[in-house]
Amino acid sequence: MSAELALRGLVLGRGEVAVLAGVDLTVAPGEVVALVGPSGCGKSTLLDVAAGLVPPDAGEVRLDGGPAPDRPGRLALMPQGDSLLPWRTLADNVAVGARLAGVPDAAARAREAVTRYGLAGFEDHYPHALSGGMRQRAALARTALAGRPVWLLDEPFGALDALTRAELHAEVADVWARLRPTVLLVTHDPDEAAVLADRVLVSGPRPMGRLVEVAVPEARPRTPAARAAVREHVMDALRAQHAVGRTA
Amino acid sequence: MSRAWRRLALPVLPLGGLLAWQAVIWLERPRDWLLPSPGAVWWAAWDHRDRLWFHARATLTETLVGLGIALAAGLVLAAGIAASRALEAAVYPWVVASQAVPILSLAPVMAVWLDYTLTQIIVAALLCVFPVIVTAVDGLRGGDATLARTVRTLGASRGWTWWHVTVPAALPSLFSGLKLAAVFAVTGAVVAEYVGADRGLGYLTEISTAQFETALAMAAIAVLGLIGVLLFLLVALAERLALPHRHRATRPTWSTHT
Ligand SMILES: Nc1ncnc2c1ncn2[C@@H]1O[C@H](COP(=O)(O)OP(=O)(O)OP(=O)(O)O)[C@@H](O)[C@H]1O
Ligand SMILES: [Mg+2]
Repeated sequence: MSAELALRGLVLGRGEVAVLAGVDLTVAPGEVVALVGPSGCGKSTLLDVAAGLVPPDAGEVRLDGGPAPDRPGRLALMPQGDSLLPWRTLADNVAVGARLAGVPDAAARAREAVTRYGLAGFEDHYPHALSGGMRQRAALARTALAGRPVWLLDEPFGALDALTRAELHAEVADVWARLRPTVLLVTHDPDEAAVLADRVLVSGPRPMGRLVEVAVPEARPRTPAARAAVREHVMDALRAQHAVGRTA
Repeated sequence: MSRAWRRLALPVLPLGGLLAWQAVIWLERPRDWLLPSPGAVWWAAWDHRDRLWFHARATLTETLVGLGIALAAGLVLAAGIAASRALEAAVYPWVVASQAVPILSLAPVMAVWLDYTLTQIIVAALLCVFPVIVTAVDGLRGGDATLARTVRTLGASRGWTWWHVTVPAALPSLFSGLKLAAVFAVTGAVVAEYVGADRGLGYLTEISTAQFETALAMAAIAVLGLIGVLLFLLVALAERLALPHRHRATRPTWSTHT
């Protein structure tokens, strides 16, 4: 269950401001690519365009070398912030993607997933009665269960404490090893990129243009030393990009 | 304030009002037809319970049918307005402008064209369609766009997204409109009865006042109040059943939502 995702020369203006100014990016089948960039640089916008929710002014989104379908649905987006349906219970929320994909035993599999993501006992709770971190786990479980070949994750671990985040990183790495989805992961956290991603791209401030790929030693799972190196490279790239953004 | 205290607070106002009323009776000893005592109103209601029930049924029917028509027409119109900019531009300004005409002033004109019951139904419907439309349009428009976008990427069609995301998000706003509409509908039906009717609590109030049966008129008004409160509570109950997540942490056993 994977596909190649390629973004080619994406340009998008929102009102007066240019948000995307020619973004090129390829994620190989089954690969995890992290995109790191300063707040407001256009990361969420890029995912919207990739998901087919917002048509670009120029450029295109390609899946496995062909044009991506106009209609959203092959790329599962986990948006930034809350995205559970408030009127559905946790288990029903987790099952949504699978139901829509026509998975026959969606309800049973959703209950399994709820346990796997550490939410057992809360199946019948509504989202407002869960913590922010629990809601994010549920959204992640929903994305995984939807069975899409490409996952677009917008800061999926943003609302978690450090320990839970580390635990969930390990679990998610397991899930990815098993399902081999193609993942584009937006994050603010250089550490997270170092732990989870095969490749790391860094964007400058808005508008997002050419992305800088940082050197990444070792394949995953990385040693602490290799992770520290990745983090340093990411920070260096961010600083350099920031300087470019200022003088431009 | 604790729950028990709030329970105690509820009857304070009506009891105070009754007491003040009774005090006026004791001190001023007004004539019966000018201001009957609370007890006299109670006994008038008891003695005339069959008549009250007959007229209450008439008013309730007009109110409910008017409310039903307003709900059906208002929801269809609101769905169209929320979905289409063109329809919004063509229709919505006129819906708003129509409220500049005092609806109740239409009742005499309509009574010329239509039979009594129909006049009452239509006036009730016209009076309560506006809150339905406005709250439904706002609710359908105001939902969180992120939710809709998320389920779209999970493969939901536009229709599925509308029914399972846009509509549930609109319900809280719509229920607020319905509570207003329920109360307005009673007002509409009763005022239309004043203009011309041969039954209904508004009609009963009018003829009993004319015949100096003030106690019966006041009993009819009390029943009208009861009907308004009942409809309001009915909508509030429907809201609780339709939106369990607003009131509780876990799914109740009676919920059928999946
Ligand atoms: N609907 C919109 N209308 C106008 N401008 C918008 C709109 N949406 C986003 N923008 C602008 O586009 C830019 C990029 O927004 P985006 O949400 O993609 O940033 P981001 O990189 O995801 O930031 P963060 O890390 O804080 O989530 C912002 O500067 C924002 O002001
Ligand atoms: Mg963002």
